[in-house]
Amino acid sequence: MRQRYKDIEKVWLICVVLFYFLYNLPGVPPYGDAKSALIHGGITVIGLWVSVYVGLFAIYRHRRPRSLQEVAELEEKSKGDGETKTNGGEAQ
Amino acid sequence: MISSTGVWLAFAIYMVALISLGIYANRKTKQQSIQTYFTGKGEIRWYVLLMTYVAALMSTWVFFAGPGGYYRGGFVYWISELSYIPLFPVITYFVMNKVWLLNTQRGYVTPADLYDDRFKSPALRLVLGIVFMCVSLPYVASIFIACGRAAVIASGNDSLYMPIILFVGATTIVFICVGGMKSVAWADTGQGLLFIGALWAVVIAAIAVGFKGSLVGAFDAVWENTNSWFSYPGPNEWVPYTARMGYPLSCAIGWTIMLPHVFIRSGFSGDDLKSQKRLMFLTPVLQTVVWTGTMLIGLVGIGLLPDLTSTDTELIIPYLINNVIATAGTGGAKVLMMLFMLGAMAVGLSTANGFLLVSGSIFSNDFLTNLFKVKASGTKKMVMAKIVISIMGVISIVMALNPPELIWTLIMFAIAMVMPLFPVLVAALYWKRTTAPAAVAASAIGCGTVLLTYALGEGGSWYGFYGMAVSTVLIVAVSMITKPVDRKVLDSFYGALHKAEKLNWEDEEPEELA
Repeated sequence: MRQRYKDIEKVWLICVVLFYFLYNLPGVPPYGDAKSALIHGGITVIGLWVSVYVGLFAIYRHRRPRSLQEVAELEEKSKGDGETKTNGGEAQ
Repeated sequence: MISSTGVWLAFAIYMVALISLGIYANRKTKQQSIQTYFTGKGEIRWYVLLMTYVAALMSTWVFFAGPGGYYRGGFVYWISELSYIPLFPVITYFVMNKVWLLNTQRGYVTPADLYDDRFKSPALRLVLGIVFMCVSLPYVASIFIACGRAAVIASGNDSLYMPIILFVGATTIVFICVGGMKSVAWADTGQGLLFIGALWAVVIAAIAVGFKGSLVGAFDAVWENTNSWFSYPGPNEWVPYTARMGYPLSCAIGWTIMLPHVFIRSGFSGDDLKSQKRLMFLTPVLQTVVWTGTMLIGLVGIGLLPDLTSTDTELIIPYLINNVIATAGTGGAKVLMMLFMLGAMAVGLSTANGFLLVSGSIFSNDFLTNLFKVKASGTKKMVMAKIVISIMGVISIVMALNPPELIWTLIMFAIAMVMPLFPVLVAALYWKRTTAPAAVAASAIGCGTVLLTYALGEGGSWYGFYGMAVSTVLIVAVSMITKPVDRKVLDSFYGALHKAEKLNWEDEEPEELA
């Protein structure tokens, strides 16, 4: 079984790296060409920002951070039950 | 423009307010543990976390070299800034959130505590301690220099330089010793709002007077008269293709993540993952607000005064105030000069506070307690830390009174020096096979490579890029040929991370694979 947010993370990283790479393509835009510099910046940098924020929104739709209070309540409940739930997902 | 008395009054009121805040925060936090004093112990709310992070991140560059940088670097320099700013949420999500999660379970005091938790290597702690301490000193000294210069520029009185540095330096030391991280964070919140407000007051006034309030007019004038301002590599060739990648990368990794004072804020200080989320979403916005304001000052500068020397552009804000804005009336110009001075102090001291505090923690926790095994109670450790903060502050004051020629180069060098530590951090969090000898080799040789980069004259384009690349190769290569970390250490470390993730994230139910 696979959690959806892990797929989103992968796509997110790929998009960010792609736009960052496109921004840094050597030789693009040519030196001294102001119009090309603005077009290049508009496409790559705006693309980078859009991909970062769209990715952030997408991930947080599938992965909700708990507040301090919720975490404290969960810890109390765990102590009371005397057991910890397992949820899978070890680090590589 | 402002009398010496006016300057002293402004500085005195500012520093008294700062120390009062420190005393108030100290009284409110009844019994400060070492962790609370140095990191806020994960209790800083999101709005304070955001402001302390941004304020600590930004330095006097915003008011001094920054606008001149845009004057000389051009619009494309601003575009290159926009290329690294959005990387902060990505790096924070994959790296610093894991640091934060671990900290909830392990109670770290310094960045080296996390590395040591994973690798159990005194040699690594020593390397990290030396690097982090070395990068802190030039920063703090540069801020005291900027405060002295701001006072001299505002008043036209050279004799203020030394006494202002002594006064600001001494009161900064007192403030940090009295308050700790929470008072520093609250002070940063106020200082952050002040410097951003001051910056934009100058921007609006400059455009209003210089271009009759027309931003489009300002852009048109520069497009017509200095078209190279909009193209690569910029009018003074600041942004060739190499620097277009090297400089933003060093900022994304070295400046916004790995410098110890921001590492603490993005990795240890927030109260919950929701605060981390807000930090991720909003930091790029605030950074863009600051750098856009700085860029617009550069734009107005080059639009109205295209032939300034490099020396003049370093102080373009007071130059504009005296030579452009003052033509519309000296009253407004005086207010702006005061805002320039206070804004420079606010943005500078918020960084200096962060660096001094973390330097104290590194010396006390990493060197005295962990490396030299000095046994002391919590109270005595705090006293030792405050003594160290005072000594570091005094050294910074001495450096500021007799600044070395390369002080501004040292700041960019500081950012480059911490970059090789990033691959070690990522490997520690994600790859169980990473070994302690690999971490030590990657850190030490990576930092050595940065020194070599600068020695060969390539530091201005590549910063810490080569050091980081060498560190990445070494962390993998040396791990493959050295003994793995003890299984129990790994289970404890990753077990703590796993537990914190389960507690703090509510993930949706897993999907069945197709």
